[in-house]
Amino acid sequence: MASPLCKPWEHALSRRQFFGASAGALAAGALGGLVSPAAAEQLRSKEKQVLFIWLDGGMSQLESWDPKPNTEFGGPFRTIKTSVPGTHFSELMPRSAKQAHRLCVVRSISTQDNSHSAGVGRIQRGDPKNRGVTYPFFGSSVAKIMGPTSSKLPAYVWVKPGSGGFKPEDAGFLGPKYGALAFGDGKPPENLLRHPSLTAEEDEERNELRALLDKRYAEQRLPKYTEANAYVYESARELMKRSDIFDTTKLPAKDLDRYGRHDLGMHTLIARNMLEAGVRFVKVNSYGWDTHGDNFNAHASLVPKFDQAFASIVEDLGARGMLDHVLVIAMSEFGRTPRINGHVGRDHWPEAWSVAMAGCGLKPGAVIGETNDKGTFVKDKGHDIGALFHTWFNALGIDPKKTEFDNNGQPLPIAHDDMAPIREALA
Amino acid sequence: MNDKPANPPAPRELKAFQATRQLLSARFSPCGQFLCSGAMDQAVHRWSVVEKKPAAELELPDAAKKPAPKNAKNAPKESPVELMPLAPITGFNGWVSTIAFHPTDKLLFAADSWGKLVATSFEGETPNAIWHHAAAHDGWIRRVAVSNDGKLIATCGRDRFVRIWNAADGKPVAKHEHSEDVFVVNFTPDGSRVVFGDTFGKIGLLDFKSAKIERQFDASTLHKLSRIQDVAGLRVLMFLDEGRTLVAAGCQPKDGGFVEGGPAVLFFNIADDKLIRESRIGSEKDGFVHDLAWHPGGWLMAATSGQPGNGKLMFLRPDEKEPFYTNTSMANCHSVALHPDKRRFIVTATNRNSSGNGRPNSKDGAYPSNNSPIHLFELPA
Repeated sequence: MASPLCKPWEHALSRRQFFGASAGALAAGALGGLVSPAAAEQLRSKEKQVLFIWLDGGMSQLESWDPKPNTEFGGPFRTIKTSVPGTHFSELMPRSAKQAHRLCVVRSISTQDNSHSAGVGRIQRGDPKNRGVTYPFFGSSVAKIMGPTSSKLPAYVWVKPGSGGFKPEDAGFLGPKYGALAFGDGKPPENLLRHPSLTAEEDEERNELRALLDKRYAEQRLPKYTEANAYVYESARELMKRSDIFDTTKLPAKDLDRYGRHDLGMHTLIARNMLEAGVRFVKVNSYGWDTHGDNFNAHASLVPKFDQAFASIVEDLGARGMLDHVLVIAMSEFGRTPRINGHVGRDHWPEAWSVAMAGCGLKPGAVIGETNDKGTFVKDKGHDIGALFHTWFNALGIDPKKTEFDNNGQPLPIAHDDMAPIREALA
Repeated sequence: MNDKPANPPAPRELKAFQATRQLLSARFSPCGQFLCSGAMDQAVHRWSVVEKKPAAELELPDAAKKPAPKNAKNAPKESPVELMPLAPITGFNGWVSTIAFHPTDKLLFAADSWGKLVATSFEGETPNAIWHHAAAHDGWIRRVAVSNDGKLIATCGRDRFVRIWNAADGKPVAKHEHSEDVFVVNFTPDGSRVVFGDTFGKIGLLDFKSAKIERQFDASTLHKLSRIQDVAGLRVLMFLDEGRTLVAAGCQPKDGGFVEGGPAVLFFNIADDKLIRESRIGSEKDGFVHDLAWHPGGWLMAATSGQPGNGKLMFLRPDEKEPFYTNTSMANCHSVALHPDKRRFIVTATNRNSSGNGRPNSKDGAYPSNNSPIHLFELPA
């Protein structure tokens, strides 16, 4: 009779990556810490959560949150009224327009980088001052500072098209323990779930054996070298118990119709399940927003799909009372040029673009900042990504002026130390 | 004996005129005295087509009649035709995405991206609107077409509707609700039906009197689902051979975002809905066939636009796979219009260096905009 136990080669890649994160941790050491562990413990008890929707490539602010109809660079689309009197969005966003009273839109984002390769990392790491270390992405920072919720589910989950697995690179100097557990195409990492031929008792026996071996291993090493291993193991075991939250075959048809039966819709719906189950930070990625060509037909196809998913989850989180403790952010690495190129496209534009947010700690129904009449530049004061990091941390109840990372004895600010939160955005 | 007609000599560019704005759809009036184009600035731009008298016929001193030496510095380009700008027709919103002339009456039909449809005169200082519908469609009207007898016009748009109107007074005649965004519509030569095509390259032949789709043609190679973006490649539908052949042109997309893809022209047999031939007439950088014109000499004139800086004018015979003439001297061509004299034609293109990430470096610090040079060509007699 064949052994029900899986073979080592069946663990290739995903599971090995996930459970074996401690190997990376030995190198990086999972050394990042907080100066004040007591404060972190207090934060954990608040159960605040984050949904971070990343539109990779750069959504056009002019075809979404900051339309400039009938102007030189305004494009072909109309605007529509929103649920906030006096505020208009692009006609491509009718559903988000109805949720505007729950949103906080900043139209005065002005950042530094106009390339994808540098921009994605720079934006998601908060573009802090260069101190010779690789800063963590926002998700990893939250995972580090706030930890898992009481659900014990992984603190940082990434739902994305394409490949999944454990993505330690997001964590920067914090070490791989704070990387993202990626659900590629909305599915959990391969072999994460208990094999159907393995009974719960057999699985428990295996874990007892693993625990024994881990203990012996840990007795000969410093705790910091073994904590990542234990952490990812425990997170995985909690996930194994909750397969219901990411089983795409069980997503309700009615919700799928509302969110959209496309990647972004389904992944946002999975994100709702994860937030409801207690995942601290969920990132949802959508790719293909780099519309250098045929921008307007592209946005006519892309934006309504985003609108469907985004408005649905904002509506659902609002209806469930979850916006009180879930911070929602939708953004890209930059906006798109006002100038329309010969390919009827828009190029990269970090000078003046928009971010939409909702929920926890933010002022609902707010529109912050303004671009000039043509939408080319921010009118008064622009807000860099560092200001957004300050805003987000404040919204989550974390004071970036009092909270620091501890990089092996080196105190490091959690957000750009020369910047401040966008006060008008905070509730 | 070879029956194949000889290809014409390459056309000569007479002059490039500078439009101040980005043009979308240029056409000559049937009288040949006007050039009009929809533009991105909520207007129809107009030019008077002025034939210049030969210098020898002008009452000028003999010295002035001599042509400038070829090597003379800053010698003005001599063109027998000038395009003299006239006041634009305003009152539109968004983009004036499409225009079409009435074949005999002095009427121009223009439609914008907010759904407005206008029938207007086009001569004189201040053309008058004959009739208009402020909301002919719910949003972007992508194409207006006129029947050959001038009695009807057809429009289509992002609202998924095809609509037929009486050309004289604008009264609605028929409508058809499709399932998807309709990118293009055109009349059959006898004006009894329209053909329309959507995002997915689905083409239908509609008998609008009976509201029946009589034929369907598969141009799905002009569509691609790239991640969550439906990339729509179809841009042009026209009939050849007195309505026996349907031509569909646009882009075979490779991906979304940048929209890399090759310009393509598909030929369908109306009688059996079958694809006769698919001519890919460029590389993946070349993008879309944005516009087509039929020359009575027996060839199609195609204007293409792809990655910024890439644009071609190509002449293609329907029975040949490769263009017999390609001009790569223009950037991002968006329309080609044949003058009624059948010798002259224009191509609207885009200024060089129209693209770029981040803050452009302009000398005066102003934020730059793009424009559309109008290239005037002449086919040798």
